[in-house]
Amino acid sequence: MRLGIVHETAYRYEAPLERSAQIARLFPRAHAGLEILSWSVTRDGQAALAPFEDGLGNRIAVVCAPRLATGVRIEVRGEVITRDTGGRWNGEETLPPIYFLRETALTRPAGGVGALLERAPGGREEVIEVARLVRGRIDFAADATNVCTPAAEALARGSGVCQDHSHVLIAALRARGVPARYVSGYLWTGRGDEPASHAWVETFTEGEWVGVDPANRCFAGEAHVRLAAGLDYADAAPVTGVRAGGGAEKLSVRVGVQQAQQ
Amino acid sequence: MLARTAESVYWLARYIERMDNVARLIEAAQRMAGLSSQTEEWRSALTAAGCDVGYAAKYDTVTSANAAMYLGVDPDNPSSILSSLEKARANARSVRTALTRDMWEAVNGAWLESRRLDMKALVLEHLPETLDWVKTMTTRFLGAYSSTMLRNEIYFFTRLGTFLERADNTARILDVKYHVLLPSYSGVGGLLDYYQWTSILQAVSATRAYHWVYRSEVFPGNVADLLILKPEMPRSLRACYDQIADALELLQDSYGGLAGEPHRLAGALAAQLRYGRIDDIMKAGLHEYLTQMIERTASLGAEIERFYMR
Amino acid sequence: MFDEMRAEGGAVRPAYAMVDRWLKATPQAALDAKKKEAERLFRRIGITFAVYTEGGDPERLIPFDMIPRVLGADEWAILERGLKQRVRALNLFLKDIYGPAEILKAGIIPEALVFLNAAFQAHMQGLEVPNGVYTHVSGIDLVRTGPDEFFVLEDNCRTPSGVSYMLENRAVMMRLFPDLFEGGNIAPIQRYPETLLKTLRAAAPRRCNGDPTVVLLTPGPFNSAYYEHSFLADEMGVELVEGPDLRVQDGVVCMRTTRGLQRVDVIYRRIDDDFLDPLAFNPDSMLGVPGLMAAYRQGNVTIANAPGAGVADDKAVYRLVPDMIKFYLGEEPLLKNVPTWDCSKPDALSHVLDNLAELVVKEARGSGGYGMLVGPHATKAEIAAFAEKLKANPADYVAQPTLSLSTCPCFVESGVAPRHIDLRPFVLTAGEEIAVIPGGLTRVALREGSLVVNSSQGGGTKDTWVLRAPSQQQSQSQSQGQG
Repeated sequence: MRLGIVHETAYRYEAPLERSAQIARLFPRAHAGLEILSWSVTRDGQAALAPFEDGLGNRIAVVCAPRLATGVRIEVRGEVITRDTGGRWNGEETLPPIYFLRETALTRPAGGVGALLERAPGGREEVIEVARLVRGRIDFAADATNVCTPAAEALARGSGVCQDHSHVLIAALRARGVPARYVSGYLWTGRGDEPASHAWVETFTEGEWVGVDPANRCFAGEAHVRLAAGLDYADAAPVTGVRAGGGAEKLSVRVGVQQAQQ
Repeated sequence: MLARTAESVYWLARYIERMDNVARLIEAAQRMAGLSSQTEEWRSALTAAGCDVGYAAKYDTVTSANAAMYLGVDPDNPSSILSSLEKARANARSVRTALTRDMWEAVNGAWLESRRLDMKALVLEHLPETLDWVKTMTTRFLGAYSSTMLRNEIYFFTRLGTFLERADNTARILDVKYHVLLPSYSGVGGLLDYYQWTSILQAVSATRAYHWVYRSEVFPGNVADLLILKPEMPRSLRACYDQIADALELLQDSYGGLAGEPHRLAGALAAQLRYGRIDDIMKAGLHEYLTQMIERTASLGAEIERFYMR
Repeated sequence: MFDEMRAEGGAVRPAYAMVDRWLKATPQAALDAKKKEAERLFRRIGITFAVYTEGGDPERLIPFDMIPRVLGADEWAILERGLKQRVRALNLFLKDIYGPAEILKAGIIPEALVFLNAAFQAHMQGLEVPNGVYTHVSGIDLVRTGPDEFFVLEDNCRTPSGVSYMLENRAVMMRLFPDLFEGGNIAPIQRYPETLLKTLRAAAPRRCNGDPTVVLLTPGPFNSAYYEHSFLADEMGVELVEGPDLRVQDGVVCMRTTRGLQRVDVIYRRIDDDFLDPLAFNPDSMLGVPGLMAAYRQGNVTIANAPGAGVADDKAVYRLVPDMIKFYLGEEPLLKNVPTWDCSKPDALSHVLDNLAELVVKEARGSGGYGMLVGPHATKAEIAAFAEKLKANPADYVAQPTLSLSTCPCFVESGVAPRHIDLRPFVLTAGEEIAVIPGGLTRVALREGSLVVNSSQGGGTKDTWVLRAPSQQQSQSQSQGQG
C-alpha cells in the first residue's frame, strides 16, 4: 500500500521559552514491511533534521527551540510503501529480547495485570487471542486516560486508548516471561474519524518479533507504519521533551495518512 | 567564567547592598518619629524599599512595629533584610570558591548569627543595635571585597551589583520624597520642612556630607543636587553611574573589547549625569526625571543579565 | 588476626620500621600534643579545604587518625598489578556488554544479570566510547587478612569519592611530620589531580579538534561530596558546573560563560546516571542537561565515567569478575574475590540462612553499609529479623564470610590500640595507560572490634604510605664538589 503521511506537532507557549529540548522519534526504519520513498522532518520550516540512532535502534533527532521562541512546530512529510508481513518485524536488533522483560512505571504488573494471562501464549495465533482479551477488557474512550496512566489503572478503569491497550498487553506478557515492547507509529484507517497516530505492541514469539495491534485485534500489517519501539510510551513516544519557561502550553497535533497513487 | 558565577556574585552584592539600604530606611523612619506623622514616614520607607504593595496586602494600617517587622525580618517580604541575607548567602554558597575567604565569612558569619539570634525580638526591642549590626555586616562585606579580591571579572561583577542596587535605592528615596524638594512645595513650613529634607539625607547617611559640601543650612535644591549630581557623594546617582560605567569598561577590556547594549546604556546615563544641571532637572520635572532614572536603571540591570549571564 | 604493623610475637614488620621509630622516639605526652596540633592544623590547613565546608569553622566530616598505614614496595607492586588487571577487565566487560556481548554468548555471565540490571543503560548500546574506556576513575575496595591475603571487597565504577581525603590526609601529615617524608622513601600522591586531568583529556571525543575543554559536573552545594567536587575542579583548573550551566546546541555541549557559549568536550560527572539528561533518563529531573546523551552518541562529548558503568560494580556481577579476567585477558586474577553467595539462587539462599551468624549479608545494590548484617556481631533477634527480610527478597542480597580484616594501630582514648581497616586505591584509565596512585584512602573502624569502616557508621581515615623501592629513593648524600 502506498501511503502519504503528514504529521504536524505544534506547541504554542503563552510566554517566551527559556529553553526547550525534545526528542523526535519520527524517522521510520525500512524493513521487509516498509519501503521509504521519501521522508523529511523539519522544525519551524528550517532545513530537514538529520537523525541518528539511539541505543534501541530507533532513529531520532533532538529538537531545540531557539531561546525566547513562543512556539515550536515539527512537521513530518513522507511517502512509503507498506507490505503485509503477518506482523513480522525483521529490522536489525541492538538488544536481545530479554531486555524487553524490564519493568517500567507504566508497565508494572500491578492490580490484575500480572494475572491477566494464565500462561505465556504458545504461538502467533495465541498472541492474537491475548490481544483480543486485552481489547475486550478496555473499551475505547478518548479522554479516560492520558500518557501517564499506568497499565494497572487503565485496566481498573476498563477504558482507554491504544497506548493503554498496549501497556496492559505488554505488562501482561512480561509478567509471563514473554518479551514485549511498545511501538509507536501511524495507522491508515481509510476513514477520517480515527486518529492516525497509533501505538501497538511487538512481542517475541517463536524466535521472532511480531507486531500485534491490540486496539484493532490484528497483526501489524499494511496499514501500520512503524516509527519507534521501546519499553513503554515514555521510551518510544513520537515527540517528548522538557522545557523551562514558556508558561502554559498548548499542543496541537494533526496527522493525516492518505492512500497515494501507485 | 561561568555565567552562573557572574550572576551569583552580582546578585550577592545586590542583596547585601539592599540589606544596607533597607536598614538605613528603617533608621531614618524611626528617627523622624514624633516630628512628623509617623505613619507618613513609615509609608515612605515602605514605598522607597518597594515593599508598599506587599505590606498593604498583609496589614490594613501602617504602624511602626508592623512596618519595622515587615522590612526587617518578614520572610513573606522578598526585600526584607532577612530575606536578602538568606538570598545573599545562597548565592555566596553556590560560588564559594569564587569569593575570598573574608567575603564568605562576612556573609556566612552574619547568616549563622541571624539563625542563632531571635531577630524578631531584636527588631522589636533593640532596633537601633540591630540595624547597626546589619550595617556592620554589610560594611564588612564591602571592605572585604575591596581589600581582598583580585581585580578581575569576578570583582567587576561584584561592583556592578553593589552600585546598580545603590543607584536604584537613591533614586527611589528621592522619588518618594521629591515633592518636598520642589520649589513649588508649600509645606506646613519651618521646622517640619527642615526635618523632611534632613530625613532624606539621613536615609542615605549624608547629613554630614551635605554640610561638608555646601557649608550651609539645608536647602531642598542642594539636597537633590547632592544626591543626583555630586561625584564626591558616594551614594549619588552620579557616583554610582561612574562606578557602573567603569566596571563595564573594565569588563569590556578583559573580554577583548566585547561590548554591547549595557555599555551603551551605562555610558549614556553616566554622561547625562556628568553634564546635568540641577536647575534644568527641576525645570523639566524632578519626578519625571527620577522615574526615568529608576526605569533606566532597571533596564540596564536586565541588559547586563542578558549580555553576560544568559 | 593480621596486624599491619606487628607480626605475631610483637616484632615490627619492616615496612613499619619508620613508624615504630617515630612512635618510640616521641613520648606519650608529645604524641598527645601532636594529636591536638593535628586538629589545629586541620583547621589551619583548611586554607585549602575549609573553603568548601559548611560554617566558618572547618568541620571535618570524617575523623583522622595520625598513625599512617604503610605498604611495602613489594606489597604495593602486587596490588598495583592486580588493580590494573582488574580495571582493565572491567572496562573490557563494559565495552563488551554494550557491544557484541561475547561473554554472555559464551555463557560465562547470565544475560539477565546484565540486561535486567537496574544499572544497565540501553542508551549506551552500540556507542563507541573513546579508547573503549567506560570507567575512567575506579575505586577498588580492598581488605587484607594475611601477609599475602588481599581481597577485593567491591568495585566502584560510577562516581567513586574519597580522593580528597586521601590528598588532605597526606597534606596534613607532611605539615605535621615533615621529617618523616624527608628521605623521599614515601611515594608521592600529590599528582593525582594532574593525572586525573590527563586521563580526562585523553578521553576527548572523536569530534574534538585541538585542546579539549574539561568540566566537572556537580549536583551542587547541597551534595555531601560538594567540597570534593570544588576541590578537584580547582586543583585541575577546570570549571565546576551544574546542569543549568550546560546547554546542548546543534548536538554540541556548551557552557554558559560571560563571554557567551563555550564548547565542552569532556564532562567529569559526579552526579548519578538518572540526573544526567532528562530526555534520556529521568524526565522529571531538570537537574540534568537535555540532549546530553544525544551529543554523546554523536561523538561530540565524552561523559566520564560513562553512564551505565554501574553494571560492572553491581554486587551480583562482582562474583563473576575473576571469570571476566580469565575470559578477556586469559590471565589468572592477581587479586582474590571474597567468596560470595548470590541469594537469588535457592541453594545459596538456604546455605546463607543456615549460617547467618557467621556471614556478612549485604544488599546487592546498596552502598553505605546500611542494609547490612554482620552475623558475628548481631544479636539473635537481629539475625531473625534479617532472615525474614532475606526470605522476602532473596534476590536483593548477597552474602560473604566474615573476613577477619587486618588491624592497624590507632590513637584511641586509652592510648594506641589496633583497629580494623580497609583500603580504597584509585585507578585512572586513559586508554591503554592505567595509573594507580600509590596509596589510596585507608578507612578505619574506630569503634573497638567493629568491622564497618563506612564514615556514616563511625569510620575514620588514615594517611596511606606506599614505600618506594630502594632504587626509587632519592640519594641523600651528594658528592662533595671539588675546588
